[in-house]
Amino acid sequence: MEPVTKSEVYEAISTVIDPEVGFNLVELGLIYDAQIDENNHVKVIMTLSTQGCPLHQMMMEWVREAVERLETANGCSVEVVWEPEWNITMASDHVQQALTAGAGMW
Amino acid sequence: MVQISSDFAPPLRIIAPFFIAGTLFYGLSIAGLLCINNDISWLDLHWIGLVHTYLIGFVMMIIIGALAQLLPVVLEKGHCCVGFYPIIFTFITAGTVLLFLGFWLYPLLLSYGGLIIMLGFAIFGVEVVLTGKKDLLRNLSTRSMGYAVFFMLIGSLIGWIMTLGLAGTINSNPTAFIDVHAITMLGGTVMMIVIGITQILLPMFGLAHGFKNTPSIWAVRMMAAGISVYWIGKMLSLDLILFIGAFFIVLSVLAYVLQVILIARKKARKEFDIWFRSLVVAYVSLFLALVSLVAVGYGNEKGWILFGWLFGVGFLGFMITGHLYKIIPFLVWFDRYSPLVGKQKVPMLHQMVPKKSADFQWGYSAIGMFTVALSLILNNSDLWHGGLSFLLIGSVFLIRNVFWMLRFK
Repeated sequence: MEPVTKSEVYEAISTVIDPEVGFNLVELGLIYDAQIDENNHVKVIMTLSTQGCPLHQMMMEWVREAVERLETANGCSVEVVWEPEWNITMASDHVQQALTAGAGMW
Repeated sequence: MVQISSDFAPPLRIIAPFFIAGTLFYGLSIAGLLCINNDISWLDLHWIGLVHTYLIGFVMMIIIGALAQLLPVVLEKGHCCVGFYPIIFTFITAGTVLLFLGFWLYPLLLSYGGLIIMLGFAIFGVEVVLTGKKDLLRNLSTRSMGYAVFFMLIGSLIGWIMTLGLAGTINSNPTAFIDVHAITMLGGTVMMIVIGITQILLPMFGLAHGFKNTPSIWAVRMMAAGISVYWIGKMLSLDLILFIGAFFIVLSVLAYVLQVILIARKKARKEFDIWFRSLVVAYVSLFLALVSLVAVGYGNEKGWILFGWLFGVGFLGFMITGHLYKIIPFLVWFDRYSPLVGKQKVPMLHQMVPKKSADFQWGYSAIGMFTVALSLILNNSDLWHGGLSFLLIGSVFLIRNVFWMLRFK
């Protein structure tokens, strides 16, 4: 079996969109790391933009399902951490600009 | 942290009736105001009936519906008895209708309406306590919920006793405890919930991080202390103690405003969407309500009506309607689209808001609310009716928008 790469994992996760802000989790900077062991099992370390998010469990499921759709991945586990705490500077420039653009929806 | 599972969230069909009935009661209370003049008195039964239709049928109805969804988030566990919510809904709806009819037509109905509402609140309180148990005192948001339930039970009991007096069932002066009832329900229940939930919703929707929550902690403490001191002052009939209690309550509101400013300064999301604009009107109204309180002085009836208008319709009204544009799309999305994620394209939450219609609702309501406030200051009946007409149009848009969002496909 071909080894799964980090970039493939990030690409898979970038299909998962936060429905509230409308950007994918990678662009939002919510994915802290993807660790791949010798058996191609992927462990995703991620955070959420806020504690107590009602989609907490579902986001984890969506990330796991997205990674497990990779043919080379041999299962996926997801861990949510709160350190370091997420902030807007962790998001991509494109997301930062979009979210802080001001009166765009006025 | 325990994860929030979809198992914890009550089904949309249980929560949706709260939002539908709430907005209908909102429209009814605004329409009812058109039938009375602006030279109102606190003791006008028609006015009191509309105030209760608004505060119970709209404010409390939607707060309870929203809490049915938010409680599992706050407490990080599922409801103890989610099946209680249809019962609570039935009791509050029936009780509000009976109270409205009692104040407007048949005073005998008041005691039945008051009793049914008190039972509805009691069932809600029991559900919250059984769901939270020891966790109710764990953090700021849960502690404020615990206090809110406690004050709600006491306040609604006082209210029921007052309805017994108004209906002539018992021989008592129903106006003697009107201030205690109002402060306990508005400060102890509504504001306590608002303070606790603000701590969760404002940062969540605004993507705010790194703010201190010390003002909120003090807001909760001072509100609880202020109401307790006010009760003592009432029991001892000592004006000085009553004043100290009221002073603590005002300090609590100021601490809450400071907390909102601290969160707003850390807000990463800058969109000026319908939620944010509604909050702007809400907080401007709250500020003006506090100013009006100081300007007119304690004991001036007209001043209290102006304060009540700005606080009730300006602050609470816009706070609630603004959040409806966040909460309803989320609930509908969660119910209808979350199982489809990864399988087919699903809408984003902002696409589930009727933007133009929401803008109209906000605009008409804001013009109407401020015009009515002006009519109370100038004692002008034309402005009163004009402002209420704008508000009524806004309420029609609100009802339409709520149905639009609930039926989104």
